[in-house]
Amino acid sequence: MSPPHYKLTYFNMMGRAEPMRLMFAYAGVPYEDNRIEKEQWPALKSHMPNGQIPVLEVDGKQLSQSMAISTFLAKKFGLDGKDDWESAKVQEMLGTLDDVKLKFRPWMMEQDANKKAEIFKTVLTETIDPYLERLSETLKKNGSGYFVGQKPTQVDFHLFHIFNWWQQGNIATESIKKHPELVAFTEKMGSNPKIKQWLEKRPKTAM
Amino acid sequence: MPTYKLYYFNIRGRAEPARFLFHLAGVPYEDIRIEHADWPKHKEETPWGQLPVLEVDGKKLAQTAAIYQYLAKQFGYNGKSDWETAQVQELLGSTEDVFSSFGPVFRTQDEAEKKKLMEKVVADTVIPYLTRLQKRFEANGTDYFVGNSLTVADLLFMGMISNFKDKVFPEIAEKFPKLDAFAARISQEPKIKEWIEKRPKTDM
Repeated sequence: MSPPHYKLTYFNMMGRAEPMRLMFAYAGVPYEDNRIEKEQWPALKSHMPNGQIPVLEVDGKQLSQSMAISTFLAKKFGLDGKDDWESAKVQEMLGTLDDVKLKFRPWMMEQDANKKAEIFKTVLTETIDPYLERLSETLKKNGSGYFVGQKPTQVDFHLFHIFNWWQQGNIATESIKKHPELVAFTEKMGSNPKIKQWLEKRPKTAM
Repeated sequence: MPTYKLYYFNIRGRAEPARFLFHLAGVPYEDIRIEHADWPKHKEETPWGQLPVLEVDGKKLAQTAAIYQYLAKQFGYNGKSDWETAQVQELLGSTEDVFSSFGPVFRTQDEAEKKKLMEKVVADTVIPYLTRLQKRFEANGTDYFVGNSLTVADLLFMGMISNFKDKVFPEIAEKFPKLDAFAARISQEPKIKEWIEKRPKTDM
């Protein structure tokens, strides 16, 4: 029986697809990294199951919703925890990360540079700093260098992507620096040979 | 058997699919309902300052989707294959976008403004969503949203359709007859009907 054919469709950016791309790289599993330009999207939208991307196609069957895609792949690649409880804790962390990302939206949508900077200050103090504090505690308490259990799970890839993106974009640099274990985590993930290879060869995009 | 506790407000809201799962499985649990006035003092006891929270043998789990999927997995309502499980998660995820679009409506105090915003949410978000959802339901070709068996997604949609009918969009029955029929049929399944009849009656 031949391995499944995977195709991941998303914009030509990191965004919601990057954690999955990182997992494919880490697991050494080939896939079609289908990137579409913003101009192509309106025409494609009606062909996507929920009018949204990312979409994962597995042997022609389509799956939308980044968490569903991420979890489906994580299970295939052994990156979803060692038992149901760990998988549940992984879901919990993905959910809280999503809540945090929602709070970024006003900042990301704002075009005016001055307003953007003002919004960011609020996002930083009300959301990012407390969240980093919680993450740092979780990492320390878990004690394995990963966020859930003793081995990497999809959460580590989602969080690595965020920290890596912030590093690249010089976002919240001072905040991250306050948490050496988060810095160490980012370095450790980034130095994994398969991940490193992907970081070097992937298309360079701002986000 | 593990000791289960479910913490939420005294409403159906986000906890209801979980409460259905316990009832379907015939598994006892403590259905802890926190009054809004008491919430501030309990907030710090929760993992992330939010409800619902599931406690299993003293260990706490937050995030609605995590709770649904954990319980659904334990009790057999999470699909019959990895692909079906992924579809359940996809469907659960799709509701978050819709539910979050109501945020601004709830936060508005002015009644006239609220009504206008609600109409906009229904037109811009709810109707397109239900259109896709009904197509998807029909395409699956069974009495359920995923495969040929009840999953937590069905429980969520049953509640959502019924809530929309009561509060947001009474025309749902005529505009989306397949969804309305689905919700009516599911709510007649014996254990589901049983919980609907015996649960505390709350506004939402």
